[in-house]
Amino acid sequence: MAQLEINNLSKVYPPDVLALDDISFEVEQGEFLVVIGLSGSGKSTLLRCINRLIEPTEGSIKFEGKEVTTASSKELKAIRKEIAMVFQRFNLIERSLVLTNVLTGQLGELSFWRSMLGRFPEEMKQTAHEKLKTVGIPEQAFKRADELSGGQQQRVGIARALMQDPKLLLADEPVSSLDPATSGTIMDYLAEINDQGKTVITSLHFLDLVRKYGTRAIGLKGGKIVYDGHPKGIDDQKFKEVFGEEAEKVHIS
Amino acid sequence: MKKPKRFTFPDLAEGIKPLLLDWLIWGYLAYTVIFLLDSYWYTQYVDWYGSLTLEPWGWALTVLGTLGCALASERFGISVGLKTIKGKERAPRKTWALTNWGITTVVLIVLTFWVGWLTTDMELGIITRRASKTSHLWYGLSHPDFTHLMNIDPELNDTILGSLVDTLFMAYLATLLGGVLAAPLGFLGARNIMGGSLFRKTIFYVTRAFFNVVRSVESLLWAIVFAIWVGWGPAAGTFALLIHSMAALAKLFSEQVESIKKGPIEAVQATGASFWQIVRYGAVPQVIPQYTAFLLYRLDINVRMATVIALVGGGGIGRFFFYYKSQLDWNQVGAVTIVIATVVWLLDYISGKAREKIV
Repeated sequence: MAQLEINNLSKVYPPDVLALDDISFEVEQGEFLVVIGLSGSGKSTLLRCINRLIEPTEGSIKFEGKEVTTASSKELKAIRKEIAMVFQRFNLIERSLVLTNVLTGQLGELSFWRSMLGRFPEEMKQTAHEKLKTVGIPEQAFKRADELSGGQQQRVGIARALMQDPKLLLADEPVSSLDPATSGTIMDYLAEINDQGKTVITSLHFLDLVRKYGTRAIGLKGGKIVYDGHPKGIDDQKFKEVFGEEAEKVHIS
Repeated sequence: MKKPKRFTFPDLAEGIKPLLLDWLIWGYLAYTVIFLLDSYWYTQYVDWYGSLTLEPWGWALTVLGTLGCALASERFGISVGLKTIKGKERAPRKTWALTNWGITTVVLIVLTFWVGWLTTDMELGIITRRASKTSHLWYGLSHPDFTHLMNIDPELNDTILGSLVDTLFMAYLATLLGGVLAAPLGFLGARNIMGGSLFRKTIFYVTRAFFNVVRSVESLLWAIVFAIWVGWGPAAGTFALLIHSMAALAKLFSEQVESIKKGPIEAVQATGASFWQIVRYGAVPQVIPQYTAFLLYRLDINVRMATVIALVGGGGIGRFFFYYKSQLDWNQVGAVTIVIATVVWLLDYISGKAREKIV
């Protein structure tokens, strides 16, 4: 049984925008799956359907054998605890401390009153500091999140994801708001997480990153899968199919 | 044989709203024109007609006439209604007066100003002509009598400073309690939080309706209600300020909640957090600074309101103001005015500085 099984998944944004069109694929544990495609091809929608930040219109998503699409709110919370997410715009709580941002990764484990009062257990704080060390910014723990640079904010995002100790990491264009050098560092962290046996599903724009890090690539166009295979298998012909004729030169940058 | 062309209203196919708007505009134009005619020429004798006056049946004629104008303007492509609501002109030829925003706006503004000037009996000359009547007032204000600043006035059984303290506490209690009540209402009245299920939407609309109604009644009117309800005195004033503060703050808060960024909410949601955890960690940190700023601003407003609420039995320093005024004791009115002005200015300054720091 694959870790993630997606069958006939469709998403229609009212009134009639078909973002995902009957998509099916499976992801094995430990894969580094890269989803590629133009803006509006359905990458973000696909990733957000997996943890139901967006409600799918049709189809089924099975994570470790549990159906996600019909899960009750309690079951869904349990599933979300296992699936961490990293965002293009980092999505940190800007006015809160970096440490608090990392700690939110563990909210699912915290009782109602403790979380309302913001009383995180000491060992949880310790773990949060460790995760910040893992991403190389232990000294930033007590700064406000919006004081950090883009690259540092994305590291906090990754630390928050690590805090969940997830089985699957979703990364929605994690490096699109960053410069190339910082992008490399962030991708290295994702690769490291992947090396520890965690599945990574990410959407990327640059083909060289896809080839360097991905173990598998899925190409989306108009909400349909147009490529599924090894990243090295994307030749110029395939590339045009995924990105369209007009996007010919994109992979050089 | 050619069929006679049937007279239709093709424009009604565009819906009733543009027509109603056109009718409204034409009706308003007719109203202003009739008002001005009435006020300037009502008594004019017209040679061949007699006294120019609007017959009772004239109103019906006007209503029908303006409807005709509205229909005609839709037909000839000068409909403001179609342009506003449907975003198009039926016959996009040359822009003509009524469809030209600039001209229409200027005409309506000028006509309204003219009518308003006559309605409110405005006259600039009166300012200078009757200036001498205020001399004793200015004299009193510039020669304030601070006798009762710290000495009890037996008539009111309090000192000016003592009642000032009352006033400040009234404003403080009202702001704090109002703010505490408004915070949850702000969330319940925010479209983005309460979207989704029918149950949540119902709560949203009920909450919105509640604070819109409460807010539209001024604090001064609430004070009348509470002066009857709990009796004259500072408690009535506090209740009045409280309920209005609560509604006004809830409105501001809910708008603040509606403008929060979705990203952090998504991020907290994705960790498997519960609804209240999402609110606490995704939404609240985003609105706290604005909440605090609104509270400070409201405290400012409440202190100002608390000084006049005595007029209808709300207690506080206003009692001295209205009492001395009724005694025509302008020197003491001057003293009270100076105390009020100083406190309001001080608070305005402090809360302004504090808000700058927060936001």
